[in-house]
Amino acid sequence: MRRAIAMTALAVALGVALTACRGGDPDASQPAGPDAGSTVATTTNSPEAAPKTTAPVDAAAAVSQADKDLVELDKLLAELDGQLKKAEESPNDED
Amino acid sequence: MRTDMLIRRGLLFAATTLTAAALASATGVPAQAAAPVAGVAVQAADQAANLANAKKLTTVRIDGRLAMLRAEGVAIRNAARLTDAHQAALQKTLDADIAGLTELRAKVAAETTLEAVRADTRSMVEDYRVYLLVRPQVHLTLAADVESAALTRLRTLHGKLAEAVTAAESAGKDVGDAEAKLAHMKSALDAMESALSGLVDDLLAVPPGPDATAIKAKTTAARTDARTARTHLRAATTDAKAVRDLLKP
Repeated sequence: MRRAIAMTALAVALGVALTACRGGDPDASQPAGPDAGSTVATTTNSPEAAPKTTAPVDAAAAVSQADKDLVELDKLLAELDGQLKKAEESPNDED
Repeated sequence: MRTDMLIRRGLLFAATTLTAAALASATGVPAQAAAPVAGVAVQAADQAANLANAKKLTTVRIDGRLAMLRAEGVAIRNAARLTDAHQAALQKTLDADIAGLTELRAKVAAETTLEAVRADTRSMVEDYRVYLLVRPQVHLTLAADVESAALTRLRTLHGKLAEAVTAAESAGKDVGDAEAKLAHMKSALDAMESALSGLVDDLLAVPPGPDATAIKAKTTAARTDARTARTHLRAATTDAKAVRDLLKP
C-alpha cells in the first residue's frame, strides 16, 4: 500500500516537473486533463504560429473579395458618370 | 392701248369710290371713316392671332416640361441606389409639378387675353423651375446616392484589405507601400464623405421661385460637391486596386 502511494506521488511530481519545464500555464492542465493532446493544442495556439498558417488564405480571400467589389465599383462609377452628365447645365436652365 | 389703260383705271377708281360710299352708308359712318374701321378689324384679327399663337407656344412649353417630369419619374422608379426617403421626396415634387402644370395647361387654353397668357407663362417658369431646379435635383440626388453606396462598399473593402495587409506582413510577405495606399484611401473616403454631407438635403430644400440666380447658385454648389466626391471615389478605387494587386501571390 505504501509503495503504491509512493509511486503515485512520484508520478504526480514528475508530471508537475515536466509541465514546469515546458513553461505551460498550470491552469491549462486542469480543463485539458491528462490527455497528451493538450500539449499539442498549447503549441499551435502560440501567437507566432497562427498567422503563418492563416495569412495566405486571408490574402487570397481578400483579393477575391476585392476583385468582386472593384467590379461592382466600376459599375457604380459608370452609373455615376451618367447621372452627373444628365445633371449638367443645359440651354434650358434659364427656365 | 394707252386709252384702254386710262379707261380701266377710271373704272377701278369709280368702283372703289362707290364701294366706300356703299360701306359708309351701310355702316352709318362717313366715307372718310371707312379706312380706320378696316384698320381696327385688321388689328383685332392680329390680336386674335397673337393670342392664339401665344397660347399655342405656352402649351408646347408646358408639354415639354410635363414630358420631362414624366421621364424623371421613370428614372427615379428605376434607380436601384436611390434611398426610399429621397425617392419619396422626389416623387412628391414630380407629382405636384405634373398636377400643377396640367392644371395650368387647361387655364392657358381658356385665356382670352395676351396678358393672362403672359402671366401663365411666368407661372410655368417661376412656380416650377423644371429645367433649372427639378432636373438637377433628380439627377444630383441619384448621383449622390450612387456615391454613398460606393462609399459604404469602399469602407468595407478598406477594412478587409487592411486586415489582409496586416496578416500578409505578419507572414513575412513583402506588401510594398500597401499601408501608405490604405492610408491614402482612407483619407479619400473621409473627403468623399465630407463632400456628400448634406448635399441632397440642401438641394431638395431649394424651392422654385423668381430668383433664377439664387437657384442656380444652389444647384451649382451641389454639382460641385458631387463632382468632388466622384474625384475622391476614383482615387479611393485606384488605391484599392493597387493594394489588391500587392496582395496577389
